[in-house]
Amino acid sequence: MNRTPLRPAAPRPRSGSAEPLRPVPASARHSPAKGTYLEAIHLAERLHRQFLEVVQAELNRAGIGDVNNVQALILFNIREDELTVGELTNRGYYLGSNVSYNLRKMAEHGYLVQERSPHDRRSVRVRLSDKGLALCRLLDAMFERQLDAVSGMQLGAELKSASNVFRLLERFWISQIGYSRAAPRD
Amino acid sequence: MSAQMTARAFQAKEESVHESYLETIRLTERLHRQFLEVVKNELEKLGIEDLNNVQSLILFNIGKNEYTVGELTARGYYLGSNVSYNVRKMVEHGYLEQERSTHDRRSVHVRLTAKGIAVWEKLDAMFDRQVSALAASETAEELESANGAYKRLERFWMQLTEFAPELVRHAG
Repeated sequence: MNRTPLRPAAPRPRSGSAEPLRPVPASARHSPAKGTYLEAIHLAERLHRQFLEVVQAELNRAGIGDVNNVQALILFNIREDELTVGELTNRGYYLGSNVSYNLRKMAEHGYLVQERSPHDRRSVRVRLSDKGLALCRLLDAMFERQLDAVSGMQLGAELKSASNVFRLLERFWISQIGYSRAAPRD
Repeated sequence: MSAQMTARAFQAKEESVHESYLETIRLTERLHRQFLEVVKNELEKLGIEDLNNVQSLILFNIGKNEYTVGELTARGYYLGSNVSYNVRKMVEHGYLEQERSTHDRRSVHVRLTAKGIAVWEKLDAMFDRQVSALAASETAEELESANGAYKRLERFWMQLTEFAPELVRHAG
């Protein structure tokens, strides 16, 4: 994370007595339903980032330094397929904010092969190289170990019903903005 | 669906765990992005252009408190990749103010300005509307236990990034 120190604040004008800030209600005063709702929102964010940490830790342990967690998950989602960038974007998994950049980096480091379509010169297809497929196998092995642990913890069924609820929440949010997108951008 | 497990259903159960696990991973990413989209949409409706969705959620989570940037990072609320940048932008646009700690000159606290509080109130109203809209549905009732399952998963993942020799060993 960025640890750059902040610049000091400009001195505030002291007009007589410092005007107190208007109080904002504390989150502790949220109703239980609201607390649960806000917690669900935080959880989605934290889980998303925590899983990326898990993948990064796996790459670190394997001594892989030329691909990051987001890129590794893009590779994992391409697998044996041959896709255009557009198709990949529609899948919407772990693409981060800069698909083209990530694809270019992975091609540079030999994980991906990019090929122009013979039919449409503007369309570039990507597929994994042997190096990319080897990384997929590493992630497969990681998932297998995690699945064993999840089964051992009896967490599978719980996750399944939790995901049913969270899918309803997802649909609710989609309805809130009135249209749906496969992969909303941040 | 698979509440009563029989020995014969073992294989199916294995597959189901596999699916649930991968689905959960994908779902958390989609949820996170979808929620950011909801907030972006709300800011657009409010005509707020100098604050983005990630920033507004940092602002919401600061609330009436004062935090150092380090504390904000540790709390891990919607900070994206660059806490300092987002905080600086919100200070520039008058949503936050910074103050050096009187005890530790290196430590800078941030808190909401009146403009920041006004946005906080709008977001709080948005959350209230959403909670009301959800109240009638079964989603609300089940959300607490769903949170519980996700929290167990979170703890499991936290262990994986710390130490778990039996989980990190590689074949070869």
